[in-house]
Amino acid sequence: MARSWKAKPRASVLRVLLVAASMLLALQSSCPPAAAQEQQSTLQKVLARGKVLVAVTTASPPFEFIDKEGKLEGFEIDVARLIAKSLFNKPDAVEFVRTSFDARWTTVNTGRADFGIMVTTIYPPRVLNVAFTEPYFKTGNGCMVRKDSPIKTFADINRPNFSVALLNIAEDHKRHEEFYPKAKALYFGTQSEQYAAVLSGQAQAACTDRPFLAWVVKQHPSELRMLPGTTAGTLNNAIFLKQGDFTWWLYLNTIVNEMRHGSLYPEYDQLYEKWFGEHAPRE
Amino acid sequence: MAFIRLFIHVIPQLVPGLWLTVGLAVGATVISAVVGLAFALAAVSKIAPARLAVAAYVEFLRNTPLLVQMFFIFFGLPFLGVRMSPFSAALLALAVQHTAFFSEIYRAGLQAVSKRSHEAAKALGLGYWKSLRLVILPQAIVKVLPAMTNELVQIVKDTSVASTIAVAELTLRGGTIAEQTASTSVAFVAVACYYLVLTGIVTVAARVVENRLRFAE
Amino acid sequence: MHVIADNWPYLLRAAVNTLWMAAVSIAVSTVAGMLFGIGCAVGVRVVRVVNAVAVWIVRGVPLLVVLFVVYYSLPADLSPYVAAIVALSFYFTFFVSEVVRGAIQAIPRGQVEAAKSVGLSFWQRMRLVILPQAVRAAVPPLMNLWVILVKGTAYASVISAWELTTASTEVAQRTVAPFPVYGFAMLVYFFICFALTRIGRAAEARLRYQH
Repeated sequence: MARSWKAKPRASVLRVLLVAASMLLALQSSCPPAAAQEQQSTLQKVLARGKVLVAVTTASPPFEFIDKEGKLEGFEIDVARLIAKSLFNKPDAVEFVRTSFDARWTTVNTGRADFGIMVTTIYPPRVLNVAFTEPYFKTGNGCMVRKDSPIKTFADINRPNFSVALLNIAEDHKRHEEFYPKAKALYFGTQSEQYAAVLSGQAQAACTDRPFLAWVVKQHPSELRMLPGTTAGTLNNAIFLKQGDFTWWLYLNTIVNEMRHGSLYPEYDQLYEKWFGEHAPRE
Repeated sequence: MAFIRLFIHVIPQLVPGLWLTVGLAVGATVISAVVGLAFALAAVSKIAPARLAVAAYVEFLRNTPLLVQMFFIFFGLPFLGVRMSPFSAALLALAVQHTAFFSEIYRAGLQAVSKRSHEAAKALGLGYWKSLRLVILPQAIVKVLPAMTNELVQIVKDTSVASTIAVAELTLRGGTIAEQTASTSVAFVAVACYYLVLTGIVTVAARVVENRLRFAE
Repeated sequence: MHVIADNWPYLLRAAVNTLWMAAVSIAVSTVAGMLFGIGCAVGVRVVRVVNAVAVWIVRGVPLLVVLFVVYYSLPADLSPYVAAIVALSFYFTFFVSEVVRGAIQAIPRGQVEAAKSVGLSFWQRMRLVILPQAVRAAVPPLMNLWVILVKGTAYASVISAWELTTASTEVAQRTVAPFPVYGFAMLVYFFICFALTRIGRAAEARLRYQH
């Protein structure tokens, strides 16, 4: 009665595998791709639900991080609450969906979250997968090293005996090839792991969003320092959402616009000062 | 269908990760198979502190997760002044874990060899090492070959944990591709298929070796 | 060591999540695994085929990858905790089923024949003759599987469920003291697994005594 694993799978096992594979394929193709038409806009769904689901990361201070009590805090958390307040007049009508960078597009495209705000920069290849609003934050890509490191500029990193801590995203892979191809790249899942790698000496440099690095350097002023400048000029961080939902995009975009230049500027400015110690740029 | 097209596109992109997976697995296996034997010999020896030390080592590693061990080694050791690349740290963590398991396997095999063999070897005038090499070990190893095959498969599977400390093996590559293509479903299913093929090859190869060794008996 | 003194309540709170995720997964996989194991041993065709395919998968694919597939690839919208429990339960159900199947098949044919000739029905045979012996034989390997499952809950940290490993990483990065923090986490896991092993050994001894 015992099945020997040396025996070739019987025909019935192959049949089951075929059936299961075709079921999986059917499920996949029945999953609506990003551009499918939805009967009801996410805006209606959110209003009916009474709270908004927001995709966030958890290890990118000061944008979002877990504080000592285990609560999710950060600039982007507060911006999300501001949006909830605009929707429902209640800043707590929001549920945060912790998401990894791998899965952020899928998370909004399948409706697991209504929008995402997680230190996400607008790059053209990404716009093929997901929709962005106007940027809510201007950032840049910089590098951080240990204070006693011989590295003074980005070009100094480009040496074969150096390791650079990067994020496991497509753009960091590109930046590695473009700016420091000779150095060894270590790809991590979160920004916190990047800075832990530099602090412990595993990597000689960590390159990612400047505001994150600035915050980290502020926490460890005697051990770390930032390299001056950015690798590629100004970058835009923006809210991302499912493609094809114009009503929802228009709502979110209008709110972001009002935060940056309009009626919501005072509250946005307050948050900006709280987390970055300076006034929000008003253009 | 989009799924199949994407799947076929993803498969070759995972190949660079495959080499690292294989490298980790082979390295960890070689180290733990050798060191594990030394530990097992200590565990069956007459020296009580040695037996105790190995037992404590095995118990501790059996009851703690590999993931935490890897973080401990990768993030913690540098503070002791030990600098290692992620690959080395992962290799060390895997070797430390599986040395414990291998030592248990060898120990069971050694203890299963009948007293008669020991006595026969003594009667023939063979010393400790000679009798071990010519009489005891061959029997012990043949007895535990299936368990060793299992360990080998387990090592291949455990290499996936190295993805959490930035080793660009199969699982991490899967994550990179998932992020690029916005289709996490395909990427990780492809990674799973790679592991199925890898472990399948290992199992079949081990079976062949097993049969050859049994035949040589 | 002040790092641990300051943070151990936070870490232990996280360990509670580890415990209940493990408990639910152990319960589900043990029950489901027993059903599959009995079904296979008895010879139900559908069960044997499904079991064969699933065992091939869980033997060949790492738990971490199965977890990723469950969390990211399935069209369902699962929270990290639920995904971890589903992945762990699925994974271990088929290890349990193999253990149970082996235990049942190890019972000498003679006993089954004797029970049949005495006139016991299928369910009576199961309840009075086969299962008691099979369960006794299965307890040691099952306990081993449970310990491996508890260790497997650590992977839930990679999909951002908040449990002991996640909390340890948070504290380790915040305090820049990975050594004591991960060391403490390992001690907690050790304590949980060791206790589980002891309980299992006691249960095994109790069962043997009932003979």
